[in-house]
Amino acid sequence: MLSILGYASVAAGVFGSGWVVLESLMQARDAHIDRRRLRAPMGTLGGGAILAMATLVLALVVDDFSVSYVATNHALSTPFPYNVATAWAALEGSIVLWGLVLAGFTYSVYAGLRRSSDRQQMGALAVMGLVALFFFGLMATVANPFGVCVSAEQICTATSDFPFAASVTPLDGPGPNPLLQNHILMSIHPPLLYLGYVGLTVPFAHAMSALALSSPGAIWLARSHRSTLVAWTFLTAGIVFGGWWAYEVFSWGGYWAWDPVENASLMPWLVATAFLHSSLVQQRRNMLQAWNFVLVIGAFALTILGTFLTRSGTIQSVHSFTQSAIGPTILAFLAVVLLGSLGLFATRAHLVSDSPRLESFVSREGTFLANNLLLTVFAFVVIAGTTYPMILEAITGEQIGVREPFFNRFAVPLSFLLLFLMGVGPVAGWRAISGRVLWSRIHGPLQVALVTGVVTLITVSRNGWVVLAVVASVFVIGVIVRHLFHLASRSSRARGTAIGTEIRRLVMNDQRYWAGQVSHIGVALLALGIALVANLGTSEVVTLEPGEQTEFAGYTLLYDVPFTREEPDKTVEGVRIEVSRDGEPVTVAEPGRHIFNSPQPILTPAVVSGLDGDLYLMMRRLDGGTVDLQLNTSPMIWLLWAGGLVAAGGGAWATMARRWRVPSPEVAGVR
Amino acid sequence: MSADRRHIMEMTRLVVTAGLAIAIAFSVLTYQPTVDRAERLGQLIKCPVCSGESIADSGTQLADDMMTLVRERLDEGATDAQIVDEILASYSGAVLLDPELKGSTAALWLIPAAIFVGGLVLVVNRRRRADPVEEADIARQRDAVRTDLEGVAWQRETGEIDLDTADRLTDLYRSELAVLEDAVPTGPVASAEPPQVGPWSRRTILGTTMLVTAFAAVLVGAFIFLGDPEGTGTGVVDGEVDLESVSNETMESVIAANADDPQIDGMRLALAERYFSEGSYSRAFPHYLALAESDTADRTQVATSLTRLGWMTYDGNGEAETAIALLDQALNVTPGAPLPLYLKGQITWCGIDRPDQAARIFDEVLEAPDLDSTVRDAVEKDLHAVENGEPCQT
Amino acid sequence: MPDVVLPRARPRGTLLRWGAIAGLVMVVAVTLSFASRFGDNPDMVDSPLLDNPAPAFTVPLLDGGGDVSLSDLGGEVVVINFFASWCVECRKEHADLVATAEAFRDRGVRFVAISYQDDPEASRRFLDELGRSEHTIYATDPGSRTAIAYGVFGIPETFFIDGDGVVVGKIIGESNALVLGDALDTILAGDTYGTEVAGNQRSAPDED
Repeated sequence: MLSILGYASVAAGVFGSGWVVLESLMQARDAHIDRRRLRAPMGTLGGGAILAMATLVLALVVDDFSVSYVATNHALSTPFPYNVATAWAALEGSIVLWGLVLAGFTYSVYAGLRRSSDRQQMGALAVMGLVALFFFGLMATVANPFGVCVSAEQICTATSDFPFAASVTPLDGPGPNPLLQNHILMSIHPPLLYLGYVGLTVPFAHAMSALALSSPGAIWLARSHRSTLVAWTFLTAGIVFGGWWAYEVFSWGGYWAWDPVENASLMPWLVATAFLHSSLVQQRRNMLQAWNFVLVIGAFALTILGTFLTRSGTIQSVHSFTQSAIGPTILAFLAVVLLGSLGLFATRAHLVSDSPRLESFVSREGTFLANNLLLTVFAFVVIAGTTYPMILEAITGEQIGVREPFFNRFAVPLSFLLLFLMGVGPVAGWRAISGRVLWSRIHGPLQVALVTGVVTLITVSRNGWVVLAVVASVFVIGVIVRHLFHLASRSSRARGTAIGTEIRRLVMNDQRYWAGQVSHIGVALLALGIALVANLGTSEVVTLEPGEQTEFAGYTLLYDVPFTREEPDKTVEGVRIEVSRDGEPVTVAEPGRHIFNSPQPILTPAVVSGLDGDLYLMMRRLDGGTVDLQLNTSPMIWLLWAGGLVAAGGGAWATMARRWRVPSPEVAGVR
Repeated sequence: MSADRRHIMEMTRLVVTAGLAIAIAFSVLTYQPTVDRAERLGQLIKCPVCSGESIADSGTQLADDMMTLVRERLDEGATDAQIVDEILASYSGAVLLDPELKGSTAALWLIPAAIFVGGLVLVVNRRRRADPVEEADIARQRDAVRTDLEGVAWQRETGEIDLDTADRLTDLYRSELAVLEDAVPTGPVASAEPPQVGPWSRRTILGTTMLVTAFAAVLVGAFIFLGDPEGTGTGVVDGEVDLESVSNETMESVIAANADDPQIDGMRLALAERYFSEGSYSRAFPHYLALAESDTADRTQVATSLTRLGWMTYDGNGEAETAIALLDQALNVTPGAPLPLYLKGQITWCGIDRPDQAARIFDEVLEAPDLDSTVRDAVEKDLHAVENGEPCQT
Repeated sequence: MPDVVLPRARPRGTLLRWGAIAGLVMVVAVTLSFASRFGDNPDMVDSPLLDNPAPAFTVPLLDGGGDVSLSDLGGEVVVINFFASWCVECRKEHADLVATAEAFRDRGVRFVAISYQDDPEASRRFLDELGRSEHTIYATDPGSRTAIAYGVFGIPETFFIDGDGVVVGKIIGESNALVLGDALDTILAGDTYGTEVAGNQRSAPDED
């Protein structure tokens, strides 16, 4: 029953998106815009998407094992929030989520028609509809979650994609991948990422529409800017939560492995960041049009590539799903998207206006251009490193490995260059700025940063990366803070008001700029956190008998007992470690392994968090009572999470800020 | 404060900053932490059973063992390259975390470098150009230039740019503004009508899109219908094996490994038949016996086995009575089957020397419906021989 | 005088166009590369040992009583199987290994079963429970040296060495009698078998 309902809603999604495409294309071609005629198509699409997701979640919550997705991914023993999260834990369900988010963003483009009732907006709606048509089509054919189980014993043994087939209801199921049940962050990570990925469809749609209709750049950028911000914010948050989850759940002590699937989220992020910055330049000064087209096509294409890498089974990874026809289908879609959009760009870009107006490299535009370049190179490094092994193997059969050492070689210097730009760019004037003035704005913070560096040298470590990261972060933050105070004090002198009032006024008048600076601060903190953990972290393996204690990193660890505990959805085998510091007990850590339905246990670490960083315990081997424990420190790792969230927070603030309008000369000159 | 004094202060500040920077650089660059060679080498080798961790960082047993090996080799005096080569000789290149720089991997370095250089070239080659296309766009550009003029004025006023730059930019913008104010749209007029998309570009787009979609459809179709993920082995013969190509030993092992599986009976019979036809009675015997005693073999299989057992008992061991008993059992399972009956006839004639009984049995055979013509000929020939009192010929 | 012109055609547009076409070509090339990997098992990792001399080893016998070296088995076709008591897949393939060892014993094939990262007592119990073949040598691998030398990624993995001491085959994952027999038939006929993924593997008692 639920299968039929679910499939009907997917069908409604397919039908609705096709209808949207037809209706909007017709209206765009005839230049006759009538929003009302899109109400029914949008309703069908939106209704189908919502109903599909609702049906899937309902089937999971009521344990309806006749639905094929539930039968293959759910278990009775899965506790409450995780059974809802199972809806997007596996392949087919995640596409349903994608469809839902896409329907939401399509609705936002449709709503935009109210204000911008013209062909460009309608064209953008058409492109959104086309993408939705693909994804709902995927759901209806190769990635169908609403099939039925057709034969079962205890659990389902065979499914059929045909929802009307005679269904059998097994009593239980295998449950979701145990890795995905271990932590609540797992539930948040995919939806956040999807809001980011899917959101990038909106600027892409606007760009394609503008190209097809020769509509000027300022228009499509202005209309899609908010969606770009939303997408970027969620993508940032999704990546940060993903790293945090990896750290808390996987017994390896790291948060980023340069795994192809992790890279799949980083690649669009890098390009989206470049696009975000670059679009500001075009909106302001009508330049970098070609860059913006290429960047937005790249960002969207990379989200599809990311989906492909994650789901096609062509690479082996933590995230890998089993092989099916989905891989070729998504690859084909990626090819169509790239060839179509690049083709459109090649033939039509010259029809859209572009006046490159770089008067001077030493200017805000100059730093943005350099920023574009660096981020693009960064993105290419990640793309090359991730895809080259596959391509090389396809051509010559040779197998190579590309992981952390390779990526760090490029990522670290590029990141420092970007941090430097982050410090200098925001205080450079548009059009041009004299070197002396620019220097006066950064000299003070640079000095402070260098002094902090010396202090770090003396008190913390002589490690070059640590010191450089401290200098860079303090520099970035210092420039921003100094600039704010400088402006506030100048204008408070001029107007005779208090500095605090001036600060508020400046910030409120140009929220997007200051929100961007908040994001920069977040990134600086993130970079600092990364450098500290990477270079100052320590690790040790100890073997303990019950009752034995050991000292590590200022902590005293007393091994109490090994234990086995039964929980409703898993069995936990672990060891109790009493952690204390300077005689004061801190906590009881229980690293161990979690055994779910599947025979493979998940090694789960225990993380003891503090202001100065984390103590990370992993149970490597338990033999009778003797335990092999791996102990790691992650100094100041909270800077990573905090910095990442602050960066995303800046994006959120910018999204909610008042619409950007051409500012007065006073404000224009100042920034 | 005099300009000189300010200048001196400025220089002092500069010197202090430079000094700090140099001090940091010096201190950092002269920092030589004790480098654990094994650790560093270990960080380049991927733990084969982990997802991307190096053997230095991973705590798995294999990683530990590999690190022990690395340390041992280092103690013996091997170079880094030798150790890496040794590991590469066992594992493929995929076990390295950092690809070696060689011909096939050069692209990994070249691509980012090419993008960087290419981008730099693109950036440096920007020239000023005003190229209005539509009326609406000219208006926008005009506003932008006006804003820029105001902005430059403000920047000059606040000292953000020096006077020379300010003059240069003001001249630039003024002349641009002049051009824009005189400009006549050379392209089609804006938004009211749909812009005339050139027929060439529209056809190109449509054609290219259709071509690309067709290509995509072919790709998808090909890999859905032709592609098949590498099969995982099953423990049971699934009936699709081409028995012709499988060797005797393989069949023996498959049968031995799956002795409890009812589906193995077919393979067992096939193997036994092979042995029988090449004359290896002793090898065929246990299999026929197993089939004859099996609960799962079907009637035909049991009957065939008993028949063969019967013949082998006579032909191999010369025990005619036992052979006939076995053939009788076969006939119990499939009454009237011509082959066991015929063989029984032959053994009766040649084995226990009862020609009259043999003749009766041969007659019975000939009464069987749908008898194969070659068999009929052979039986008639033998019957004729028996009736004529000729000696046994088999 | 600043250089301001109003031409319709833009040389820069041509640069963009050719850049975009280059991009298109790259996309097609990359798409085809990816597409060619469909149907390939991502677990299949090439072994550089194929068609090369087999790494020599000397390992202690599982049931005690000395060592065995690869050189002791010169002239025979040697099948090396890595297993452990904690490996579920090894359990499933065990009967097939024993049957194949017995079936091919008269054709100059010798099986060597090496216990990988396992307590020797646990391995012995495993074999006691599931059966041994008299014609198979059972050994352990202290320090996993032999496993490392053979490039083992997980167990079970089975390697085939021909009479000249060259590695001619590798089976990844749990095998069965049909695959083993097919491999041996190929090798005894003088050909190289190559790498085959027959089933699943595991790498540690607690898999992450």
